[in-house]
Amino acid sequence: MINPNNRLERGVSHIILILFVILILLPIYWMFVSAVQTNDNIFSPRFHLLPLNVDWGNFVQAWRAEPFGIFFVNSIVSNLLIVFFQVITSSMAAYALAFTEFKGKKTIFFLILMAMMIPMQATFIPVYIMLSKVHLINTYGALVIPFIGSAFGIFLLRQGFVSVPKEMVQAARIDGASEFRILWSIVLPNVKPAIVTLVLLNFVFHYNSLFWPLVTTNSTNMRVIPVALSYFLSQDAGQQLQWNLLMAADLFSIVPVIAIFLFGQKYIVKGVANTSLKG
Amino acid sequence: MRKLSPTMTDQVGATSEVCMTSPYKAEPRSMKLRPLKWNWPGFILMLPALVFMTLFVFIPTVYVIYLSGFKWNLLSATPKFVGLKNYVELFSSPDFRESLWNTLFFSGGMMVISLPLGLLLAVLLDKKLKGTNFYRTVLFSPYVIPLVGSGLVWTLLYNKDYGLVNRVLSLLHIAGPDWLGSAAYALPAVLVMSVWQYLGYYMLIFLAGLQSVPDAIKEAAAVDGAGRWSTFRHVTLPSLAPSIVFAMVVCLIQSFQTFDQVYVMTGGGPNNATSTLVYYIYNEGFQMFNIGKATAASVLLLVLLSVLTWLQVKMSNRWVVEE
Amino acid sequence: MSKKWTKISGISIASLGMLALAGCGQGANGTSVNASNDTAAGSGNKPVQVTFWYGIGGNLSNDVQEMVQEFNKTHPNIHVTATYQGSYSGGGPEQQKLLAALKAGDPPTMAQIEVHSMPVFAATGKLVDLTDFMQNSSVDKPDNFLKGMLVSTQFNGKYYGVPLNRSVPVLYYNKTLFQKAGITAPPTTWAELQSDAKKLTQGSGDAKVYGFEPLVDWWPWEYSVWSGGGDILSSDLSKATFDSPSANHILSMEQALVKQGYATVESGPQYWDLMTQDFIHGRVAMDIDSIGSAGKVKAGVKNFDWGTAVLPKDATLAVPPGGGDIAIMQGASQDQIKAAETFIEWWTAPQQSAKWAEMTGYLPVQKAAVSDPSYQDYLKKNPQFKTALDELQYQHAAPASPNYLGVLQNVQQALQGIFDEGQPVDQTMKNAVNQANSALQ
Repeated sequence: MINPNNRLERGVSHIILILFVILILLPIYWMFVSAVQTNDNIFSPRFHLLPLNVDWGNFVQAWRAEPFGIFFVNSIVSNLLIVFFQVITSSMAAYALAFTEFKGKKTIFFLILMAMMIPMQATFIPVYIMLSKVHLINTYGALVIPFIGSAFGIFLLRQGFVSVPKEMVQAARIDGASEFRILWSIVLPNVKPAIVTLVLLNFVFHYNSLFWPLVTTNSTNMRVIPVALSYFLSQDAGQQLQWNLLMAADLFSIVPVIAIFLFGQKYIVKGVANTSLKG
Repeated sequence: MRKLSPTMTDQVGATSEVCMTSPYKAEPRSMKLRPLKWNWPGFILMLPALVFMTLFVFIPTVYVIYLSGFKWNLLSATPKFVGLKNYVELFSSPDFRESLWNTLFFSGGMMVISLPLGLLLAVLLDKKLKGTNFYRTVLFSPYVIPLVGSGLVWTLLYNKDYGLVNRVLSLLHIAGPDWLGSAAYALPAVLVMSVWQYLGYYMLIFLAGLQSVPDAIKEAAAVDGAGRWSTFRHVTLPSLAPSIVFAMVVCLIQSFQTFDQVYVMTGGGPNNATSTLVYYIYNEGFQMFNIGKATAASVLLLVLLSVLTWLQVKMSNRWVVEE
Repeated sequence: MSKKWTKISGISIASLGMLALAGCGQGANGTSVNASNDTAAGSGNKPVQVTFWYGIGGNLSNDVQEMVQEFNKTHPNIHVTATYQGSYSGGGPEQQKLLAALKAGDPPTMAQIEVHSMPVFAATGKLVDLTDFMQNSSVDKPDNFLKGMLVSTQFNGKYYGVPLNRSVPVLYYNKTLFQKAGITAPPTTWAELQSDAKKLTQGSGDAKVYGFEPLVDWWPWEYSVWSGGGDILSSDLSKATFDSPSANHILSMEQALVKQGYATVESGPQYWDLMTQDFIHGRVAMDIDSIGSAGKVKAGVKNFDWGTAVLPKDATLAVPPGGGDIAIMQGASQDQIKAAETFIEWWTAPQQSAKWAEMTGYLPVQKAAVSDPSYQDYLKKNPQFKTALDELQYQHAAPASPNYLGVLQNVQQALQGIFDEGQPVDQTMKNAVNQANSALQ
């Protein structure tokens, strides 16, 4: 069904999209341009869209400036632990909210809603003191434990769970299956997209978060990626602010999240649409 | 009918779920089921999440409310009880009022700019054009970049002498301002950067919503001879209502919690012009060691957010019910 | 509504009960996870483990690590683990972490403390009093330090820190531009600086060279208040007094230069580095920067001659100390405190002090280090550093108020208002004084 109107419309759509793509890519491109130049050239008074010099060695130098290998391991392991525990606690809680009745359910729901509005910056002092009392500061414990219960995860999964026909759950109950068994073998297999979404989004969120790890870790072998990046920023007198190395480090530190998204994004959009329609 | 729901969310985003299939609404469905005779399995399943959230969110929050009645610099042995004095001081502090205003301006700006743009992009991507996957990936990509990194590259772009933005403007014979260094432009500059960072995220929310609208409905409307705009207005938009409410709530909470960009790009300056509420809390509490004031500001932030979210949910309930 | 609230409080109480249970479980977990955090004193053949937090990053961090490695190699009985914790400057991450760790009772053995923060930390009573140690030490006897070095290390008459990496602000000037403008010597008074700045300003647009660039920061601002003849706080530290005409005198002149187009300023969180870059790239003929930046300037400057000069005086000349001191935290074992003292003595001994100064551009802290032949040699090659040594005698202690950092925050904001937005100096500083007064109470 090709009519000129349609073709025009498509053309205009492409033009708008391409415009946005350029605007969106420009800062990322600039990160790249800055990463391969010398510091002097970044601040060169000459107008340039292409790098004035290309030195791939900046990436090597940035990588060697700090033990980034350790930081990657810390970031990836601690965040995998977070999402692993979140999937467990959130799926159990979401199941409880979606398929069971108990006293105080609505109140709990309300509390969870409140929990999502509280920024870490508001509550970190009591949390910090609590963790230090049990000597968890500067351990994976400090990075992981405060995030095991996730209001966001519960909401997200509950949303997915609601699409599972209640009749299936009910039938299994009549057959005498335990609630855990129903969750494990009936509900979870039906909500894979919601689980994948939770895993991906929360992984990215925690992988990028700076504030909490900055406050609670203090040795080099506990450092995570965003903290390492922020340390490139400090600029007391006499310190050379190495913009180029910072940009280079930035670029290689987003590789894991980009990879995880290329792998998962199709799943998210399509998966979400599918589950929603199924009900 | 159960509301269709997008699931692209953020930490905070989840709230939205409430708006779409608000628990109160979803209830009747489960009521139809035979109510369970035993109570404990549900509660036990709730327990792990609840215990951790209680420990790390609820109790600290209660403690924060308690602390807001004291004057304390964190290290001195005894906090001094001052009643509501911290709150009084907050409201008479020009810095706090400015931070409050900045937060409202920033949140309003995010909603007015990034939601319509996100919707526009989603509608374009829903047309199944060639290269949709590419567009979607690229447009979403800023969202996964740590704010530490993107904040820094935008600082470079905004530099008054060497920055690309002013270089391009000077080609057009416009003398660009010192974006991050002037009180008038700094907050809008941070806003633009944030729109760049989050636009793709809202786009995905809308896209997921659009893809749940059955094509048949859209086509039926088209066959009826409804105009393009009128199809959008009367068919697409109403079925997107849950996604829109969702995006609005996410956007509100996310922008109210803005911190990293400010921390990296401006440090709240110049002259407090970009200080947000969360940045104010951080600054009072952790840089000036004024725990009482910081916790009082946290409590106000929480109250404000709850009220705004509640209002949105109220309004949207009416909206959603109307169709 | 009220019904809901009763329900909520019910839940909260229930959760409090759960907290107790969960707390115990975690305690058990915690200790096992933390077993690696070994602070056992090594009286036998195991070296004593001490930790050292510092807040100077990048190339300087590498220098610290090099020094520490050297120490560990030469002291088999002690092992120092030094970790960069983010910037130590006012309100920087190192300071915040240290504060949190002190609060939680789990601090490092030693920490670098920025000179202006010393009162904040000393007032907590959580720093080890070093007075006896210093008086009995052959190396760190107070008399051994250069004049003015110890102004920042005392609180209520006791020593809580030993000078580690110290600096002062100096005037940097571009000799080549001075020659072109026909000026033979750097300015020694503010009247001269003003007229020099006008002569040095030239060109327009991208190619414009400004005569002067003030650093929009409270550090040189301290110099401007004192040198104008003003005081920052009243002598009993209860009131802010920095809005007097003499306190504002230099500031007003700086603002006038900016408004007239003879000076420029940098803004944003990277303002300091950007200013240094401006000087390096010949975009400004003079600026006020830390002597600690000399190494960076030296490495960066390509095609002109430059030098440093003692800051110009106004009514008088008084310069603030800069950089950091090292302090020992309470809670360390006797062995650890001994080990930390050994480390401090080693670092501040003339040989290391001179080496550190040559590596970084910070000042040697001891008299003997300056007369060290290698440092004398270094001074010959790098005459810029002589300026800083000459300036030391003008060092002036910052007010020893534990609330001083809060005051400086207000000042920093006011300075941004004055330079970035062109707000009137008198009124802006008056407002800052009012805010500061509430921080001081």
